[in-house]
Amino acid sequence: MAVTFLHTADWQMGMKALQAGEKAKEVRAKRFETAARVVELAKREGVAFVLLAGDLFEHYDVDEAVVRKTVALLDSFSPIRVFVLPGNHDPLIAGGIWDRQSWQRVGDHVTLLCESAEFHVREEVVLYPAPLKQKQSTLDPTAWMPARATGDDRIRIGVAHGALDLLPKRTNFPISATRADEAGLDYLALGDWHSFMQQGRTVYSGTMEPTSFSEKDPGNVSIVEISGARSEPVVSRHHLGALRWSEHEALIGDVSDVEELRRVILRLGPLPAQLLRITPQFDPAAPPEALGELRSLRDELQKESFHLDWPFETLDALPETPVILPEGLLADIDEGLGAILEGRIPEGPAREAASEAPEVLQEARALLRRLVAEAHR
Amino acid sequence: MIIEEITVENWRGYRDSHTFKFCNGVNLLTGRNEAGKSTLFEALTRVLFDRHNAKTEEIRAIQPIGSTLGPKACVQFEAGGRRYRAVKQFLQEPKSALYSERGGNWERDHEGDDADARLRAILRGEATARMAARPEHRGLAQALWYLQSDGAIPEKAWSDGVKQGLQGLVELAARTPVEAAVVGRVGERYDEYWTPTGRIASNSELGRLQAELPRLEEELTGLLDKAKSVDSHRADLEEIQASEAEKRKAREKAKAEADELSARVQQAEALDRECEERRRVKNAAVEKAQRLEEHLTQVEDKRKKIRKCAAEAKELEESLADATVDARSEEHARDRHARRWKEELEPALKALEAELQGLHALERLRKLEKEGKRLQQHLDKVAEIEEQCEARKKAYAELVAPDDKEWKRFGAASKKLSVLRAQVEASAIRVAFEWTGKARKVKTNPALRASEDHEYLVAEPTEFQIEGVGTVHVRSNASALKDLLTERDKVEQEVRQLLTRFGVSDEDGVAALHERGRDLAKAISTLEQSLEETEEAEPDAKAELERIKRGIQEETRAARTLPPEAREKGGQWIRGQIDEKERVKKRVISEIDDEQKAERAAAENLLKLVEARQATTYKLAARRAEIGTHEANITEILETYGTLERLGNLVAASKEEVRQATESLDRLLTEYEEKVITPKRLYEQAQNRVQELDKQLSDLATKIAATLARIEESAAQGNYSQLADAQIEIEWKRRRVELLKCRAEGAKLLHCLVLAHEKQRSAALSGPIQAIVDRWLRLLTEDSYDALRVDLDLKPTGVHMVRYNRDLPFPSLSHGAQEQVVVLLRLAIAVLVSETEPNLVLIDDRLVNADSVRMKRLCLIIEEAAKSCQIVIATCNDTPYAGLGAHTVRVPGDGTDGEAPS
Repeated sequence: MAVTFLHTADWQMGMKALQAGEKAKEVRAKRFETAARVVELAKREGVAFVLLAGDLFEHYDVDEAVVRKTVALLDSFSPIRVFVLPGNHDPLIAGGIWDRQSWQRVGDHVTLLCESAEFHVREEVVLYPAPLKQKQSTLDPTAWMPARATGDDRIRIGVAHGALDLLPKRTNFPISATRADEAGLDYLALGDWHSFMQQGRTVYSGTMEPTSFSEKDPGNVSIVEISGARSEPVVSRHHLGALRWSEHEALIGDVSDVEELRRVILRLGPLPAQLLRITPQFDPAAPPEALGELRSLRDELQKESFHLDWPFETLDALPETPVILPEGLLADIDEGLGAILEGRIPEGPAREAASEAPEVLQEARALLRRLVAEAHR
Repeated sequence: MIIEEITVENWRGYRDSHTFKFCNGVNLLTGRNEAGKSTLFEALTRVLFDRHNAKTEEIRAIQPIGSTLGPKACVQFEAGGRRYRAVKQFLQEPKSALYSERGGNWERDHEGDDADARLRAILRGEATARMAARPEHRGLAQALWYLQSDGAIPEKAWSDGVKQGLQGLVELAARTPVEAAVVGRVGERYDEYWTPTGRIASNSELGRLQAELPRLEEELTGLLDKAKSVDSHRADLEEIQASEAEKRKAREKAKAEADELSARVQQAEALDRECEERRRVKNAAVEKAQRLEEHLTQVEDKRKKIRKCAAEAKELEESLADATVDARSEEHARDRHARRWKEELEPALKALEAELQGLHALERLRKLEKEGKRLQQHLDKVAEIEEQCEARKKAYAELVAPDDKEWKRFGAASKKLSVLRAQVEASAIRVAFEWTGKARKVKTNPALRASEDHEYLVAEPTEFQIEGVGTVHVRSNASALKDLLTERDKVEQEVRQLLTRFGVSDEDGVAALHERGRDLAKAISTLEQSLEETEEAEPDAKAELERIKRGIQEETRAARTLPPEAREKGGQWIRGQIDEKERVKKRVISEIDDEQKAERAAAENLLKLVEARQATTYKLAARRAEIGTHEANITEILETYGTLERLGNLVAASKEEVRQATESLDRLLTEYEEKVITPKRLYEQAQNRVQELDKQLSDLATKIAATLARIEESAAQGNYSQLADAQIEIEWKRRRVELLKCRAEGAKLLHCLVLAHEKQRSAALSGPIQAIVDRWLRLLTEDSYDALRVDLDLKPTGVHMVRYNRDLPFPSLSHGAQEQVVVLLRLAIAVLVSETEPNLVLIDDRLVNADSVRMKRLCLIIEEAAKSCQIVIATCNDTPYAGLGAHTVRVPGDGTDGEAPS
């Protein structure tokens, strides 16, 4: 009666990885490597089947090579059965990814869940899939799932793709958080949310490889064990993701802030596996040494990390040495810019700059101070 | 700074040392053109601002032509309340020294580069590399010295020296080095991003990115269009699939309908069989009625034909009798005509032809006899000519005479012999012996024979042995004579041989023989020609004569049919008889032809009549046979039915039977139409619909496959990853542009703020200057212009016209007016910077274009300016400056030799 299966979702094969910039191609390739590790895990754990709860592909227009490689990957699960659910990125539409000839060649152990209808995996295990047939909807795709009939002692597993109505600001394909209970499901395997999340019997496995800087806990798949109908599922999370994406908006007040930033980054894992986006904010009173340290950190990350999104120009905000503005024209300009940034209207020619954007005013003031510092050298 | 004196030596035209002294106020440096006025100003600037060790082309040009000595100059001036003396020598042994006066003595304070640097510091000049100093390096002097080599106003801003001089005046803080460096760097940073006209510099990273982005965006648009195209295919596919679903539904419906109708049709099978049975009964009745009606029609038809055949047979029998009578009549006529031409006319014609044959033979006999006689005469004449010709040929053959060639040879030999004989006679030595006493025997060696005159002809050295006397040796031109003699003997022998051959003794004989031979040959030729012509006139005369003889014999035999007396008749009688007989013969032949024609006509008529009778006989037999056939057929048909009337009754009965069967069938068919035909038609329609929908579904399947193929093709081209790469590139470049734009805008803002502050400062600087210049401008132009417009760098941009209350751009002023305005500006600057210490103003012949009125006003202005500064004006014409009361300094080229040399 007991069943063990692997729950994964949101592979997003062929994703653009816009945030990865010049490393986008490598990021796309990494997803295939991680997917291969999912296959290894499934075989190692001896699961009965694999549930892929939507968004196997990033888009129904992805390159043919991506489909072929994905099909090869799914074929490597054999003899483990794989159930693939169309998600909002790869919905079941006319001329979509599932109509591709290359997809049609996938092995018989792979089943595309095309209908919102009960599906018998085996006598005592049934699936209730909710395939998506469009990209957007405000309707709950799991609404059709019937309640458990009296005397139905089969293990009932729902498979769906959408946003649990617990999640903030997400309305596309909303899924009721009480669906599992209402439909008498032993497990509701969900996709769409890229981080791991468990709410009772309702579980997001998350994507097996991160896709952006905004994800909190990606890179996992779930091994689920259900001993029988109505029993609690045992969910074990396995981290397989190769890359770590992180975003840092550090406020730099002194050298210790830079050191803290370095520690935080290093705690995330080895630098060659990290994609970093760093936007430091400077305290105007920050000492020049802090800037020096920050430059050193940037050089280190630029050299070591998988990808660094940190323009060097952001380090021009402060001069490296203390600035003494000479009396006269330069001091007048600096004072005028400072007044505008503080919200005052200055006297003299600087009055004309009052309508400038703050970042431009900041830039002009920083440039002035840098040039004065250079002139003093 | 004001100048007291200048000494030059080895400087361009000044080879010797010359010193020129200046005083406060206005100094007029006068001299003719190229006298050396500008040279003094040049010496002043080089001593005060150039490095002493500069060796540029400009410095080298100072050295007088042909001189190897270094140009040298000494300038004595006052600055900052102290008196200085600067001495410099260039090129050869270059040196520099700066002296200052202390307690009435000159002490050398600096030498070499130190002296140069100190001088620049005193005069606020700027250091140069190794080149000659330019106007912008001269500090305040850039504004106060208006030299020939300088432009009216500097291309860029006034130098810092000028500005510093002015800053001091308006009590603004002087620019510190840090500020100068930062302001310069601000300009550089601005220039990194922006062009002078305020556009993003195309060669900057920002410019390049901004130029590149539209192309990338265009590429991205192309890729997005491709993606849209795929979406469009997908939308098409959706429509097609919806249509396919509809049609599939319609097909199922049509199929169900067809199946239901098919069941109904099968249920009506019994009705179908009944209908078939009644149709069979009706068809049998119709067939029977048709058969009976056909038999009745046949019988009636044949009876009509029998009646018609009988009438035709009767007509044919009558026609046959008439034809037999006519045939007999024509037979008689044919026989009558045949008898007449065979028995009467043909024998008469034969007799006439025999008689005519004899007459013709007789006529030909007479002609042959006449021709034979003529030919015999011709042959006789030929025989006679042949005989004469043979006689001449025989005589010619017997005659031995020279032919033309031999005759010519003989003549030539005879003539040559005469010539040789004469030559021998003339050349030979003749030796003759006259003996006194008895003649002695003479023996010659070689042997010679004495001539008839007892002379020996000596042709070669000959020894005469005279018996009893001795030997005489005779020598002569012996070899030539001997050759002549040999030749003569040879020719003589030839002549003799010819005479012997022709049997004559001399040349006349040979001539006679030659003449006779020629006559015989000519006669033979004439006769042969006559014979040939005669024979050619009748070439076959003999054969012809033989043929005529044979003809005579034949014709004689033919004429024997005539009576003897007729054979004796002449040609005329014979011709008359022939003509007469021919006429009779012609008439008989005509009669024979007529009779034969009549015979043939009668025979033909007879034949036709016989044939017509035969045809009529055949027709008559055919009609009789046809009647028999028809009667047999009728008998055969009526054998089944008995009588014709009975047959008619049967026909009427069968028609009634057909009518009843038809009515029964029609009734059943109405029911059949309702229960079978209509369902069948509907079934077929439904089947057609199913087939049509199958076809449409097949087409849609093809369309779906094609659309899917197009979508797959797009995917195969990797459009999605290309789109991703393009979006990434654009996104990152846009971010970079935003960042750089912020930096550019920051640089621009800072640059603008610097400019705004500088403008504020410039306005403070230019205010006092403009006040002076405007006053002078009104004076100079009699209030035509009342204000000078200057930019931030104190460079004139225009003048304000009072009359029109508008500004006139500076370049629009005449060259003279521009110079005058610039002089006013420089004088105003000089006045302002000379409030605490007088400064030197140099004007190198710049006011030559001023008219006399303006010149007077300019003099007033110069006079006013000279109250606070020292002014040196170089001019070749000091008259316009007469009212100034200026100190005049004359250059040596003017003939005055200037001031006393130092």
